[in-house]
Amino acid sequence: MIDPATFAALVGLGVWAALDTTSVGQFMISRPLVVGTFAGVLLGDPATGLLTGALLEGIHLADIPSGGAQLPEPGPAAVPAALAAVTLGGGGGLALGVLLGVLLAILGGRTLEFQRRLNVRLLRLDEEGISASEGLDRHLLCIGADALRGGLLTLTGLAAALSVPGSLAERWPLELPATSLLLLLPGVLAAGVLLRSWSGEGRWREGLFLAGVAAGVLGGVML
Amino acid sequence: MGWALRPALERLDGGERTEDRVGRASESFNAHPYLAGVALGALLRLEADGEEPEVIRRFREALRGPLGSLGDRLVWTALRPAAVFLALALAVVGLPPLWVVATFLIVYNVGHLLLRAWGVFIGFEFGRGVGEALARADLVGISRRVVACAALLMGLLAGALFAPALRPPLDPASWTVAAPAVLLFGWGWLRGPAVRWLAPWVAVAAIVGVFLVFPGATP
Repeated sequence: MIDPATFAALVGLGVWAALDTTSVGQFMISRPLVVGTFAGVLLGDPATGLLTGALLEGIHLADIPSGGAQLPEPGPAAVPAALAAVTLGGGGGLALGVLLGVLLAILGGRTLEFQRRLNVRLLRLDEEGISASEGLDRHLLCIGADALRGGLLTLTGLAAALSVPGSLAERWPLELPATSLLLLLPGVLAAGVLLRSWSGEGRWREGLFLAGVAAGVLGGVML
Repeated sequence: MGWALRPALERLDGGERTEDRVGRASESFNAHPYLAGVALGALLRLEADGEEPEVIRRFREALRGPLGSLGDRLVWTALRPAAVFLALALAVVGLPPLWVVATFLIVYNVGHLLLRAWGVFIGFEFGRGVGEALARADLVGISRRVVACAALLMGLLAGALFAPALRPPLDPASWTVAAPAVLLFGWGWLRGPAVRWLAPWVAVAAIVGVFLVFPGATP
């Protein structure tokens, strides 16, 4: 169990991440790398939070929000993911945390679509003669609705994370390092997609990537 | 757009025609959020210069596509992944978690905020000539250089994570992950964005698969 103040702070973090995704700022506080680490700090285990967030970040690496693409929303999802990883512990906790994070991110993406349709109704832009204060009020109403959405999503995720039985995590057969490597695989797929998306003009980016791999391998083997 | 421009529009012509101007500015507009400031500044300039409403509308429409694609290319495809890879590389070499996050946020947001501020400035400075100003700024060239950094960093990270599989004495067990990793990376590179949506489901399949293959096991 976690204390109420920490729980409230986690919900607040999820709300902040939801708002930062699009509505307010877009300072990338909403990236799972950031949110996971902050959640880990709140839970007293920043390293696990960072690891959980980094794995989710890798999974969503190739999610480029261009052309009206409908994407998952991994930011708020990283909060319950980190909670599950920290409280359940070990490889099982990490695996279940990432699983929860991935599923919540997909759910979050769906709620975001709903939010945008709701914004159109709330703004009622087809009305004539909107005063400055009415315009601001509607704008703030949309932001408030987005905050509520983020809060509900985070609460749902936190409840799910706290409901996962410890026995399920104990059934996981892999230690933490092996689990981390396994959960890198989807991020590797996303990295390949990202490299391809860079390849519009010639193959020199692939060359740079391979040069980096060589340097990384050399450094990793020698050090 | 109308809400953002209102304070400035109210200062034009002693506040006459403000509602008309705000109404025009409030019409549908979509561009990259960090480059929307270019449109903001340019439209303000056109209003201040007393351009015809139809000219302003057409100019506004003409800006949408270029600002969207430039921003996507420079920010989502270049700056953000580069900052992520830099932060992850620092995490791999042991930088404490909050420093990793601080590095990512600082590197990313220095670029982000400079872009926003610069966009409003050149939009207002050049008005209808902002297209030429954007071309001179060579944002495409900048994005290419940032992508180059990102590609190199991604490779460094991949190599550093792959290195334990190659360190003597060779451990066959490490290849049970390294081999699928190479295959997945190759598949992602060959198919590109068409398989982007699969990454979360690979995670789900991997986790559920381990539970199913090893029921009731303990480490």
